[in-house]
Amino acid sequence: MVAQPKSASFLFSGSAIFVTRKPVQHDSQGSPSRGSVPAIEASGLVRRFGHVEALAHVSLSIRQGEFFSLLGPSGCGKTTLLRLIAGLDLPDAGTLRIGGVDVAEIPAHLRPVNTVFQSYALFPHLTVRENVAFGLRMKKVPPAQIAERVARVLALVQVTGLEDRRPAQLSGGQKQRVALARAVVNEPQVLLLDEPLGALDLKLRKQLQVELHQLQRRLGITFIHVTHDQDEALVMSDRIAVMNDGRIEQVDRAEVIYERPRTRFTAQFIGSCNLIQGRVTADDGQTVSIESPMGPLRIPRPPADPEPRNLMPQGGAEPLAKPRCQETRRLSPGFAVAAAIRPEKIGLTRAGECPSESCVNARIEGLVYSGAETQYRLRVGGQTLTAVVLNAARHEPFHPGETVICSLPETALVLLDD
Amino acid sequence: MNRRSWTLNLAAAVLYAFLYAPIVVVIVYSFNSARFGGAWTGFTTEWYRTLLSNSTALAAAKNTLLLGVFSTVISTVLGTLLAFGLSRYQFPGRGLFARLLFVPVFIPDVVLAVALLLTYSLVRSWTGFLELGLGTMILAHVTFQIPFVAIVVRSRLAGLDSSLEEAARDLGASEWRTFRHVTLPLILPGVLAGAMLAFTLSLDDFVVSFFTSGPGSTTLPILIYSSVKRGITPDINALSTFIILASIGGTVLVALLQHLRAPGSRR
Repeated sequence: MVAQPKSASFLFSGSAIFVTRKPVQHDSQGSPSRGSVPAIEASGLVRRFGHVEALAHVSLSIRQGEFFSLLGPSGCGKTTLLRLIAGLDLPDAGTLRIGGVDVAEIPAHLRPVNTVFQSYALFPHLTVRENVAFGLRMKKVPPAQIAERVARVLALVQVTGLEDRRPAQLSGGQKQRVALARAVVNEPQVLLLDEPLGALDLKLRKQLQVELHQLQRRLGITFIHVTHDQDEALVMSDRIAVMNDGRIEQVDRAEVIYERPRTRFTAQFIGSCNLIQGRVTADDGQTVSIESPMGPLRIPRPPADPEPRNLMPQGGAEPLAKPRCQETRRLSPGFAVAAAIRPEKIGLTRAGECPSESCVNARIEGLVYSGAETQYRLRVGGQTLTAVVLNAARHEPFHPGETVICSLPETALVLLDD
Repeated sequence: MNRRSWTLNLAAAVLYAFLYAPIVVVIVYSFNSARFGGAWTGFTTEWYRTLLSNSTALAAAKNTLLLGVFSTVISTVLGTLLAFGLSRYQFPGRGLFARLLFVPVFIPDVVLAVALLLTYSLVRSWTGFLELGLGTMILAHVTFQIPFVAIVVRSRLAGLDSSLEEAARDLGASEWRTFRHVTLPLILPGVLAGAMLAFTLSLDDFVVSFFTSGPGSTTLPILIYSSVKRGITPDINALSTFIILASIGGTVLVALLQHLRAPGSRR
């Protein structure tokens, strides 16, 4: 009697998961059934400005209710992609679906998305209240309902008592909140945020990172957040797309992006990373052995991804990213490869035991003490490595010129694609 | 005060005397009781009284106002749309069109006037329309006002952050409603400054009006010109004083409107 409803709900939730994994289903009217559809589906998007390709064949699928970040240096095409989604710019090629609907013919003002602009773009001639009410007024929502919804959303973003002020009379943080309220009040399917915290000071930025994240959880709206700040992306996002030069380098959860970068660019743009060049000596499908300036290293291939890759376009026309060498190809001996290891994953000890599979002697060339941790510059086999050690007083600090044992744990090494 | 600023001040005083002395003379002599000649014979406001009972002058004043108001309204709407189109839409020849805007500003009035007169008489000989009169004068004034309005409004549009218009569209405003609710309120000081400039130009115009006017459409500048041919009379001085005051008022308004910052940046 007790077990039955339990198993029923289990079945139900199981089938719900199954539904979310199915490809887009269209009902007889041709409109996609909601819930099963990605919030955003881009395939082969190209945008050129003169001879520059701001977006070079970008394909991407963003799930409903996801906090998704587009991360990359300025000029990588992230803002261009956001503007294409908003409809403020049009692609030269490729298709874009929002909630399963092809938006090629839908102008910006009819798309179910709203944007928080980098400069906030609050209307200077309107009060805070009028700014927030603007979208609802355009949709001809009855005035009583507008007043109620505006008040509710201003309370949500914690801006109350400022309703009759003009944007020029607000602080940076207040403007940011009003800009957020002005977008959120329309209950869009997707909220686009273009470097929303870029103009704020560090302390306020940290606070608003947390608030934005909580707001997204509470509203359940898909957030697409553009940033060049890797910390911000790691803190807030469910998934991150790392962009460079108009292309997507990698799409994954924050910890996978950080722990298992696939390209040199991702490895070095997010956090700091040591690159080790080497040549393959053996590949048994599980572990790749390489010969490097640090001596022989064994690098395990990553475990199979528990999630579906989310990289095949609907209809499966072409793979959306180049194949990952970790998973697909066996590497032939002599093949030149690069491996990455994060500075904090490198272990340093004084003579004696080796705490991991591969250890080499290293000479300390220099150090930077920064309170909680110390950064060491190491000379190993003709190459320089950076190691970061927490100052937890487990041993005396190392000194420049000292020779130490440097351990490179197998699991911390990542084979890069390029 | 040191020596250098003393000479500078003197130079400035001479310059301003050069600029404004004639104007002051006209205003002062509009209060001179002497009917003929330049001798000051005493203060009077009689000329203003005769002016106000002079039906020709009043008719001319009415024509001037009608001409100014109608031409300003038309040229402000057209000039604003022109400026908006030139600064917000991409089309082939956009740069050329923007440059062509300045040509009528530099063409001598008398050349423009002759060209307009010729055009109107050609159109009239083909269609029978465009009889010279207040109608052709309005048309002619609109022609020279549009570039001025468009140039003033365009500079205001150039200073407008385009992300504001994008934000409006993003929030569900169509192109027209974006213009109506965001662009227009923000460029309104520029539009009004352009309108005041256009009105002042119309008020002061003699050459174009003279060429394109017809019977019964005499304006104040034309009236003054034809009266002066019979000798300068004190009531003409009074009339001139009125026009000077109206022009100064217009100029001050233009300056005030152009220096208005974006609404919202002040309380």
